[in-house]
Amino acid sequence: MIYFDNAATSFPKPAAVVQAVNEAVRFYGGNPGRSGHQMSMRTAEKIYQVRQKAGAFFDVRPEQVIFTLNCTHALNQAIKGVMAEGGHVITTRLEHNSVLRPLESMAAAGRIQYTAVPVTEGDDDATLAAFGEALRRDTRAVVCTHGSNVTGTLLPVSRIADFCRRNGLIFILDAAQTAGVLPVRLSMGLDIICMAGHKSLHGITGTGLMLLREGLSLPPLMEGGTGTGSLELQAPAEPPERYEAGTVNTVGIIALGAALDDLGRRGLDRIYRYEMALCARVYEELRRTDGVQLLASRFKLWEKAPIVSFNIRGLDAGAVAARLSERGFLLRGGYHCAALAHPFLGTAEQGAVRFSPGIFNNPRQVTLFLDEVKKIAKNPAVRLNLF
Amino acid sequence: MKHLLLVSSITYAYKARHLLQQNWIKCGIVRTPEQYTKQGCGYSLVLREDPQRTVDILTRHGIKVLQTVTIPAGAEKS
Repeated sequence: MIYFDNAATSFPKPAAVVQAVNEAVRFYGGNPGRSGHQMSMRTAEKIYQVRQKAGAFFDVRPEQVIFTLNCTHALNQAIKGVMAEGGHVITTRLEHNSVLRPLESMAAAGRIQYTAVPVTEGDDDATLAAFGEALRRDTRAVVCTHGSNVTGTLLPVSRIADFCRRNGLIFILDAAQTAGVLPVRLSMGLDIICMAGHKSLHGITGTGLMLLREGLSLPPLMEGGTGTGSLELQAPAEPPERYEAGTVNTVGIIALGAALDDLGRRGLDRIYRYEMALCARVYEELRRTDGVQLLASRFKLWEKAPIVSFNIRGLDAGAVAARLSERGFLLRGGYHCAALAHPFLGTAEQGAVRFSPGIFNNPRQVTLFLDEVKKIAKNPAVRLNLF
Repeated sequence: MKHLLLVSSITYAYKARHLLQQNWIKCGIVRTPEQYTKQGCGYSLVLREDPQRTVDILTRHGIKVLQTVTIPAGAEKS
């Protein structure tokens, strides 16, 4: 079994993460911030240490690190919090549904309006022009992906941040595909960064992070017990507890701490270059393979997250992924929870097969994978009745 | 004599302890005794050092101390 679906969730996890899960279940079984007994306090201290590590990793104070259940949870908190008073939002047509669905539901309820602008691959000027054309008097925020989960295309974050700063907009970044691969910092001109703990950060599922600019306060998405001020009916005023109602995923958070240590040892630059090298080879070989269509028109370092999506002419992407899975290659084929991306990219009928390697993949696995894709392209066994 | 410095959350309790350690001030973290919490449930730093100096350090670093309670010697629980 060769796993190439790290854009969905990373696999396998580093040994230190597996060990941390074991230790968390065995030794940190208390509910942090709820009681005064040893187990609760020990667990609380451990959670705080992870908060410190995440703060150091992303260059924020520990209290600016909000633990969430996943990136979708973080984005819902960010979007619904920032837009609680209404207004207009600019987003893009490459977004994941974790951005688009909250926007759409708020728009359908008449609470906000939003514009999804096109992203022009390889032409940041055109992309920024689209943002500019979408700007309105009542625009309050920009929410966009750092890197598309379909094409890997990186958006020009620093230029968008500049655009936001000049126009007094709050900038929410979806770093689901880039946290753990590329540097992401609030100091890049961002107000909120949302990320998954279980993708390139190599934590386990059920974890996410929201990094919140100091001084920015949002209505909490979820309200409930926070362990202190129990006689108060209002949520705490301060982060992080304001946004962490209920028992946090202690096992997941402790494992995330081990994952961050592991990432620090490996180095983001090395990770990015390694994964991009695997992707570059896939891109170049598939580009030369008859019957294969790549979604991206180019593949360059620093323009892409490590993702290559493709189709085999005339075949449904899901069917290709199923065939690959039968042969032991695990990839996602379909629409990738990106409602606007595939119509925008012209793949609304087929979807796409997504290759997203991780640090534990190697060139030999890529060779075997490419051989299999070429076999399918040469002798397609499954056909979609499109024609 | 011990002093309790009530803070707003477990996160700020650990942040405070970390900061005080860097300032050579030793403190523990306890669940605030119920008789001292107005809002019900909370965490406090417990220390023997001069509380005012400690509060000054914490305040300078953005950590709010909600209340300071001095527990006289003899009234301390073991």
